[in-house]
Amino acid sequence: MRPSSLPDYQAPPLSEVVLGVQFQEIQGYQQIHAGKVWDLFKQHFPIVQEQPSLDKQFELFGMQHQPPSGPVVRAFSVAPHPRYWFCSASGEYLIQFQQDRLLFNWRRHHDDTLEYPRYEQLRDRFSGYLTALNDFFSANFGECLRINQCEASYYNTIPALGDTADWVSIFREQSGIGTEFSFSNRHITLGTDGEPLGRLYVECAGGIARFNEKVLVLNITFRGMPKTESIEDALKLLDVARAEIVGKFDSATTSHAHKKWGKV
Amino acid sequence: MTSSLNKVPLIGGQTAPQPATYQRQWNDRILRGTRCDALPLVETYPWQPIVRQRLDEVVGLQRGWDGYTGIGVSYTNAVFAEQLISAVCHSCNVQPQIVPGSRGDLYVEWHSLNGDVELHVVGPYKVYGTYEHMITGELVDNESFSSDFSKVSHWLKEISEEYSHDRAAA
Repeated sequence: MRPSSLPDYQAPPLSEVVLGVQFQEIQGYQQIHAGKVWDLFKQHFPIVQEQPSLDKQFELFGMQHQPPSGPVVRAFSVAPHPRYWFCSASGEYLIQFQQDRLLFNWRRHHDDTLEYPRYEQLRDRFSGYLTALNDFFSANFGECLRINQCEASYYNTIPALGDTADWVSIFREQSGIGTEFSFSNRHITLGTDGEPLGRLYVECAGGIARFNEKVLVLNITFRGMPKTESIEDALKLLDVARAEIVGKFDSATTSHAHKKWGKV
Repeated sequence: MTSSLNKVPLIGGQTAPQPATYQRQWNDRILRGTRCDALPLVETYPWQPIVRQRLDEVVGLQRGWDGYTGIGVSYTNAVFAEQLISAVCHSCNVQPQIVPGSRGDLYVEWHSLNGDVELHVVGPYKVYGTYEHMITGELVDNESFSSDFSKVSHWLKEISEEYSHDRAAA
């Protein structure tokens, strides 16, 4: 259920939302078992694509700078496992699976008439997929999912008619800037005990979309470690992530924009 | 509306349009499928290649490498350790030593004339740290860490900087 304190929009400019977890690799799982994993989702995700795998990522705190985000250990002794995309027939939904990740995407996928299905629905579906994968690992390898990181990402593509500063408050003091600009920052979210819960990344840049249209791309991502390795705590942290992202989106955009998007 | 923008799979796997300036080289290479081999690795310290090579070695250890039933360091633990080292070493010029454990775990150790810092990486976000400063006599044994390593950064700064006895006495 949506918290009443969260800002809400009738038509948010979202182009993609991703909910995901990273987990400890399952002992005994090998790439040859990926087909069995697809069987869990095949009914609603009949299309398969292979993508390069994502590197492991850990959010660490207490330092003055972040670790480099490039590839780290080149483990020649570890066979690479591709990242599988299991796509819905329409392309609107996507499950991404590799040996230590499960992600669920909603994508507007070139269809501007698609309505954002809302976080609650995506969360429920992702919870079901996590449970299915957990049951599969448990039944076949005797191990449950041990989740060590969660992340949520919201990607907004804002058709920026007029001045950029009319849409994104970050640029309010810099009216008249062209398409060649970008902005990024990050900050730590603390829990009630004062300990870090996760880190919020905000990126905004200008661009040109289809039909030579000027757009603003506003991406907000939250990543953090769940309190325990359980699915339940992972979902709780995703709820925190969603609240952080929506709050940041609201503060980073202008009242003019809110009106256009039907802020409730 | 978004088809002409770059579509890149960043961490998290998003396929949405990205700012053109954001890690473009990295992303372009991902798209070309040359992710690990062709990328210039981010080098922050002169000893970083040595640490990476060592991590490669300990990940590749065969079962029984210790003469008993020891297994190689888990890839997950090695990646976590590498990210941890890169993050905490901003205030340290001492090269870390990598020592494999026998159960897929590993130890990261810094030793200097001022003192020693040892981290036992049992798993991601599961680390035990020991610190001893030879001059001040400060000793911390087996302290537990998960994601916040600010104290470790401080320890490393302490063991790597020039130390005056006046300061120690103060």
